[in-house]
Amino acid sequence: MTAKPMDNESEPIILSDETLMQQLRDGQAHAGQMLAARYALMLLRYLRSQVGSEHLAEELHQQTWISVLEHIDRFDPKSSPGGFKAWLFRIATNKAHDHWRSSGREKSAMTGIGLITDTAAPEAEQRLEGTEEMMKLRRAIDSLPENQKQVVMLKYYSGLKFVEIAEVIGCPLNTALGRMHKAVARLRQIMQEQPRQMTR
Amino acid sequence: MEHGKKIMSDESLLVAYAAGEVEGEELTQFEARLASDASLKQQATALSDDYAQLMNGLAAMDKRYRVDERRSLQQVDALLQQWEQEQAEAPAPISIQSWRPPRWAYAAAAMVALFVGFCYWWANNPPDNQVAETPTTEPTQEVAADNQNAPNSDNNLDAGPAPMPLAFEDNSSENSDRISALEQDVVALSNDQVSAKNSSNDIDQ
Repeated sequence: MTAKPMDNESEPIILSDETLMQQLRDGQAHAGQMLAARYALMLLRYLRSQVGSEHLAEELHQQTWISVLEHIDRFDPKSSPGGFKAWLFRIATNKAHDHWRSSGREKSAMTGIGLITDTAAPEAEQRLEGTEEMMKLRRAIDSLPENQKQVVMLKYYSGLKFVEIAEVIGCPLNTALGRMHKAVARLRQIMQEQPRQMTR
Repeated sequence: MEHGKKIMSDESLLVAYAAGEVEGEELTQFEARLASDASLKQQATALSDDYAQLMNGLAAMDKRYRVDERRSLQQVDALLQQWEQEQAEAPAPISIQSWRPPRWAYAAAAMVALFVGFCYWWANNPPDNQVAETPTTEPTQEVAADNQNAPNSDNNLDAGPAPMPLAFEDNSSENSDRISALEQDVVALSNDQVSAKNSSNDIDQ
């Protein structure tokens, strides 16, 4: 992971996630700000895909960082192959699960991963740009079982390797790969009902 | 695959291959299988295409949704500032580790406990030679008790009960004399009692 250049622009200092975490553990908030900036976009989009609302995604993003600060002493880079990124996404995934549990499964069943709720709907101008294929893909993803959907979303948004995703969701590597295989097969089946391909 | 994890099934291997996560010897072996197995090769190609289409579709879908990264970062920054302030204001936590004695202290404490225990035992169990030199108090105690049990006897001992000798005092000769005198007194007393009993029997008869 490349880090942002610090004070001296001629000699950018590359700080790893683990170094920044150590600094944050020592009470240096600026290290946390750098980490937050590093992962904010992908984490927000991931949470957005999970809860279907920009507002909720921001709230869960904040809660994720509250958990990071509360459990900062528990982070052990040696025991986590995915490092800080995998740890962060695991916390975010747990927050999303907590949200699902608190909001009720019926709502989740209605909205799937939240991509077609009112709050999740794109802006009017964006909606015009939406293609039929995209809507079909969205519905296809909605129809996936929760555990398969989770692997698909984690893979896309976090960019973690499957071995790291398996660690995030707490399952064996082959289970995570199997879920992805089933998800791809299911999506192919749904998309083939229509002759046109997925949006490029 | 990294981290020493082994992919067991072909399905899992195909997904990992499509995602570009099969590496090293495992990749070499799998590509050799693909070269020799047309069916597997076909599956791998199809899955790789579907996987790529899924990722492209998600990317296109994701672009349409706006997330306010800046606002979220401002919220997290405020959170971090507050946390830093709390950390600075909070008293330094007393580490449990600092209160833990070093390991050698446990061994030292155990040795001290053993030493104290030995001293206690030694004080209550002196060596044999010291016991041998110490005059026994049992006869003296018995004699004294006999004297106390017969306070109204006609042959009451004027001297009264003999003072108890202290244990471990080295006055064995004095005690021996005293014991001899007491034994003689006891014998005399017994004789007196026997004669007194005989005389009373004679009167009764």
